Amino acid sequence: MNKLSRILLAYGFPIVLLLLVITMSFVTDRFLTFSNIFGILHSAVPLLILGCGIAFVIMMAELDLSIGSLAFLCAAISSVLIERYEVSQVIALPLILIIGAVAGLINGLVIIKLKVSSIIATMGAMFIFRGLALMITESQVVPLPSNLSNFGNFKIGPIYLDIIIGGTILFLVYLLHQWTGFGRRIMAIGNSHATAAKVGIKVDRYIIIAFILSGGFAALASFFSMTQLGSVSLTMGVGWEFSAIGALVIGGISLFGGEGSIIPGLLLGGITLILFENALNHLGASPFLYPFVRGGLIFIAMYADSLKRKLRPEIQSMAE
Amino acid sequence: MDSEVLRFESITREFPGVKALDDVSFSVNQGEVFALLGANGAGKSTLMNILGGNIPPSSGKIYIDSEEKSFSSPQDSLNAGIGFVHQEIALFPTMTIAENLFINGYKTNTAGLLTRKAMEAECANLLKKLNCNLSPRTLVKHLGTGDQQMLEIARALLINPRILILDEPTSSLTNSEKQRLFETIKLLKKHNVTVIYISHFLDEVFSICDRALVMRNGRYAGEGDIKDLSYEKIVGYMLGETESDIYYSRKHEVSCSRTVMEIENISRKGVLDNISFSVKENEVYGLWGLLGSGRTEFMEALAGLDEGLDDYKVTLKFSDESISLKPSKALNYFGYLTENRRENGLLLSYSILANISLANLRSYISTWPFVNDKKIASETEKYVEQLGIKISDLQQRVETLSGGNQQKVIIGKWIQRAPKILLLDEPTRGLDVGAKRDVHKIINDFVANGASVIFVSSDIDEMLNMCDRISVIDRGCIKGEFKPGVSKEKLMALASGATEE
Repeated sequence: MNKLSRILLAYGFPIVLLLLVITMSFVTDRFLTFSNIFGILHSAVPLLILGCGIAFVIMMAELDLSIGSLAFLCAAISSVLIERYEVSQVIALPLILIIGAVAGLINGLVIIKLKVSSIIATMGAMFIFRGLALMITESQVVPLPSNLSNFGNFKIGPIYLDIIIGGTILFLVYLLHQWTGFGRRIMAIGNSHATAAKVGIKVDRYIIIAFILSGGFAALASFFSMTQLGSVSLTMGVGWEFSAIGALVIGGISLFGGEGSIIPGLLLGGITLILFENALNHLGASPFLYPFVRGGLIFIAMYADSLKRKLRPEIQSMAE
Repeated sequence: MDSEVLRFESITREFPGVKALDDVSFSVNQGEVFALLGANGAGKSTLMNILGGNIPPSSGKIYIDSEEKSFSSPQDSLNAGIGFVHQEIALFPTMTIAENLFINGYKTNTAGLLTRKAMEAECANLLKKLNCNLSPRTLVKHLGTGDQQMLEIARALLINPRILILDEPTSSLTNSEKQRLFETIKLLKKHNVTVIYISHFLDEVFSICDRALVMRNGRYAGEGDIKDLSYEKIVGYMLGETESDIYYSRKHEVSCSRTVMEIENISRKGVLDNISFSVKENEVYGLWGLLGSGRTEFMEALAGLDEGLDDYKVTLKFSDESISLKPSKALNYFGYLTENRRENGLLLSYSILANISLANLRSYISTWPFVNDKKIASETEKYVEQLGIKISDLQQRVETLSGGNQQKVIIGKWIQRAPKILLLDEPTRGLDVGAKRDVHKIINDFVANGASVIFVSSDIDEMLNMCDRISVIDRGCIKGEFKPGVSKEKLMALASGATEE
């Protein structure tokens, strides 16, 4: 492994990001404008919030595939309550946070108490949540009152309000991960469940908490997404879990656990994904190309992750 | 000074089918360095895991300062002032030194955020005391094994323990690191800390311990002040018999001098330099070198597992034909026992049955493509008996076995395949005296039946005892070949860089 590939592995995606921005700013004249940049950040908010929760799960080398469907379920419940049953927004909106957290708790309990692998447990939950949501919405698009969609697209000067809120949340999660004992123990568990248990960390409890966080942030992401769009469609949340996982992996959060950061990791990863789509949009590419590019990016990121993994023994022996 | 700090009373621990600890009672005094000795599987680690809160005892009581304690988690044990340095390194590679050290209780400010500066300062201070020149921000994955071991000790010291358990702390340390550790132990003793020291290396025990207790088969076997104990006496307690020679003594006679393998050249730039020697039938061929000499790299290369080789010229000579061996085909002819048995040699969560039959499944096919379970069971049983593996049931998971029995399972796996040549890299490392002798006997029987062995060990006495010829390897070069009569000093000198005159 020579020096160049090491640098590429370490800084690959920031470099790609930079190249993309430079190229695009030459190719189109509207790419590098304030309105476009804030537009990109605005559309990245739900993805980044979603990533905040599942990051803790992935960092423990577990997986949560249910978050996309859970986000849909949360949006479905709140929108139906508000639109069809005329429940106050003050009750209906905070309620979804509780629903998300409880759903995460159930995921966690199934994984720990019934000893089901997290992929299988959350894959089951993925179908159940989506099924429930379709029953609740009666398979119809649910519109939201205009005050909510106004909120979702409210601007202070050139900046969308939800960028500020999302950014604040991201920063708080960064603190939780990087600057608290909780976050550090999550990383320790991600290194090795067995070793963590040996030094006295209550691994099961942390896994359950991570899934609660994952569910809670899925609910929060659904709030940002539906207020941006102004309605809850039937395909809401489809593939979100993979976009979130993709953003994490692109940002250097390893699926093998124990590695990565919220800032800059998740932030960069999420923005990279959205940026590519925005660039395709500016180039007038067919929308059918989007999944292809997204898939390619995620694949490259996974490959890089696995390469880093292979590299590790070499790094170790160099240090010795 | 002779006040009792810790007492075990009738500790019993049963695992399914095995009584790991049987009515063990003894006490340890304040401020002494107390050696806990015994063969692998004698119950030392189980007892310490009970003290460390990792597993509960089936019955019995633990007293600390004459006060009864029960530990249901490692945290309870820490709170009682017991620091535990595990035999296997229990660190988190992707995290910094400071983060690893404080894993049991991070310091935080009033907002609940980590006070990294304060932790790093305390960490640096502690490391300095241990003569470790490391920045607290270094990631643990960038450290060598020796430093990682010191870090483990540092972590245990962080809580200012009254009792410190050191489980095989020197197994991966170099000599200078060992000295550093001994200094630390002396320092701790001065501060009236009680150290419970588990080791297979009796010379260490004699040089730093005050008192020793020996366990055997989960029971108390004997104890005494170190000045009243002798090497023979301790080994006697361990083995439970009067006979106390530690090595299975092998008769060095090569009955047949036919060459079975000719290694003409194995090279890899910067690692292995034109290694060549030949191995005979019925021979144990020793490769002696220090850590990092290239001995393990050579074994890997010979087994065809190194893809970056510059040259690989090996000829196998059977009675009727000669084969020029390709690296990719090497493992068809060799059995290869790696240095790290737990990582590379075993499926820990699988049964003994599955592990032993794994390398040889093809021969158990009676109706293609189905394997014959009955045949596997009966064959495995045969090997378990032949190798003296102590188990309760063939379905028992390998991870529940002691180190010595695990090693025998791996050897059994290869012997079952009846390879002509067996490559053994540190086959007895970490094994106790009894298990070592068993392994030696197995090797001896194996070569007596017409096979050959290439043997690597760090233990020079073992090399001289087991091998029919010994080559010295240093920095990837063979420095000379000797008969077992050669002096230890000569081998050591050659291995550490001297040239042969």
